Amino acid sequence: MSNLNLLELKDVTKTFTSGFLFKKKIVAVDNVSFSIPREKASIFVLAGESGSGKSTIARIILGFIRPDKGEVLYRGRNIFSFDSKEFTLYRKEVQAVFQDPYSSFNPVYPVDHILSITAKMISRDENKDIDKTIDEALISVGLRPSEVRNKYPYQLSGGQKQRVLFARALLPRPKLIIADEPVSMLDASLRAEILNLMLDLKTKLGISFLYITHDLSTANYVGDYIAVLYKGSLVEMGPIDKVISDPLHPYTKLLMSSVPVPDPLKRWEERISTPETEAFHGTTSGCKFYDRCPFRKDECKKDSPPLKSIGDRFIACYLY
Amino acid sequence: MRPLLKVEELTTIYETGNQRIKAVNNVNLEVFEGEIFGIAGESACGKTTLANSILKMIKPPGKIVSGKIIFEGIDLLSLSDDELRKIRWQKIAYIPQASMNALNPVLRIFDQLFDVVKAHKKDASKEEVLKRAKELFASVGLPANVLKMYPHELSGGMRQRVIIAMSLILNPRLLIADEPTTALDVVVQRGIIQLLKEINKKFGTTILLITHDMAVHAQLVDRLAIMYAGKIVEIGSVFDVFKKPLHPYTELLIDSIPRIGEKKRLTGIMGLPPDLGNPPPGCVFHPRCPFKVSGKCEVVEPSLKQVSKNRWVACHLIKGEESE
Repeated sequence: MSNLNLLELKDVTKTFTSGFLFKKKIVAVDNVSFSIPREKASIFVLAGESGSGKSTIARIILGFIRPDKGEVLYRGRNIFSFDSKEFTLYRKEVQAVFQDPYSSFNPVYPVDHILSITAKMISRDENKDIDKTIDEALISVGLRPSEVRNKYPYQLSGGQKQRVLFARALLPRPKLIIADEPVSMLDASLRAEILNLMLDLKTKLGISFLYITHDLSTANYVGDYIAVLYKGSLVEMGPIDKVISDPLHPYTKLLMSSVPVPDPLKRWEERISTPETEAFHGTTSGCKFYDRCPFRKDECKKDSPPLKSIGDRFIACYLY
Repeated sequence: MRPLLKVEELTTIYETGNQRIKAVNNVNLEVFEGEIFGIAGESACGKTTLANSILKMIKPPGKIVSGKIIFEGIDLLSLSDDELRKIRWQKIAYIPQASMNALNPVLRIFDQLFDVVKAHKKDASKEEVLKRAKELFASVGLPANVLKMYPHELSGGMRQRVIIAMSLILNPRLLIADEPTTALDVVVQRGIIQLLKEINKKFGTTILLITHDMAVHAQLVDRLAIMYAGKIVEIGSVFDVFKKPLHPYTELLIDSIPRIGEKKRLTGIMGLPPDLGNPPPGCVFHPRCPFKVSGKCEVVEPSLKQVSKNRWVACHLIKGEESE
């Protein structure tokens, strides 16, 4: 059954405790379930504001932290029950690219260095020529090996650095790449090339992506499927075209209407109230969006709304 | 409309070792009274150096080598530090990038606000400032009890509102805001864009907005200047610039922004911005320009020409009405 999925999260919860004397619990990820299908490569977007738990989910999937509750299944098996050999194999097939290409390099080594560490580990297992492996990976991200291999990080642009990091992620021939805000530090002109690269890797090499972002316009450009997080909970999930053209959850609606349209003829007309003043109080029970929701009812305060399936979408809201 | 601020042939350089980087290269622009003027461009194009130059806040190894900054008829670059202090904050307020993270963590918001006023008006009374602060906080959408809070009790969006209220406390005529919405969540960003628009309307404050985000410019500014490699390549009304960008860089920049609901393949811009320590001859954009005319663009530097009322472009492909 779940073998149909490449990756599946089942009721994943992670709570962090902060403070020394007065301990405070923060539920970073609250009962999150979603899956990335196996049969066809796709780009699954995990969208949310800062503090919504996006990156915590990425760290759980990569096995950096353990969830308090729930399972992460890779090809139907819980990754936290893997033995070390299985886990190494898992980490080969599931790669990561992070936000900041500027701080992901050791400044004193040429680009080759970061690639050869990974390439050596791979070729030891597969008996392949290191140079050839590196060249292939660089070519598939649109870089000319002879031009970049001997360069130092400061000689490359942000976009080129991010491409090198994608090349590094490609070396172990992954099935899935966790891309955590890979374009948010890049300029608009370079951003387009990385987004196009993700699309090309999906269609040409059949690699799936979990694209984590706060930026719905880039999400819309590359994504096939989207899950929207709010304070650690999934509020809406479905095919991206439908969710973006017709958001159902009040939070998704607010989020969509707040994305600035790059066209002065399409300026916002109505004024929005300023919700930040209330937002930080937080409610303890019921729907987490209650304070900011224009459609709130008494019912919403009692229990948190479950994720209901409506057509090909999932929505956690009592309105539906 | 008359210009409130006029930047004339401004050049600011950074000198390190044997490198001489022209971060702002012969920039001319006018900001009219009451408008919101935007400066767009990618990282390292000189936007922030331009803002710092306007207030003469360039520190070594940076240096303003030539030009004039005319504000209310006076060249700010000719003023002494003492004279400039009377202009800064009282006439021209500046919100540097990420200043919302620069609030003093151990002082209550009101005390920080009072310090600002004290620094410029020694005889200000606490009651007076409190009254003004309460009015201002209401205008920026903050409850009055925030005045008694510490910065850590506030969200990012609220801290940015505090900074905006602080910048307005002495009633400046010009507000320079450098990336005021960057690093905020979209919903909060929308609130700040709305707030800046309201301030401009309500108090008549002229705003110079600096951001790399073209969508923010599209939503907020009246006129827009596009900067590339230290130079202004195009100036026009935001409607004209988006409708029909004239400079190839502007056109490619607008084409590289993803739009919701469209899946047309984005083009991006080939190549890299030039090394400002060793800029290419001719037009600074020619190495990346798909429309370059060989024999001309790599030899002759195009000047910023007026092509119609309120429209200036620096490109050989565009014929000007008059040359400067």
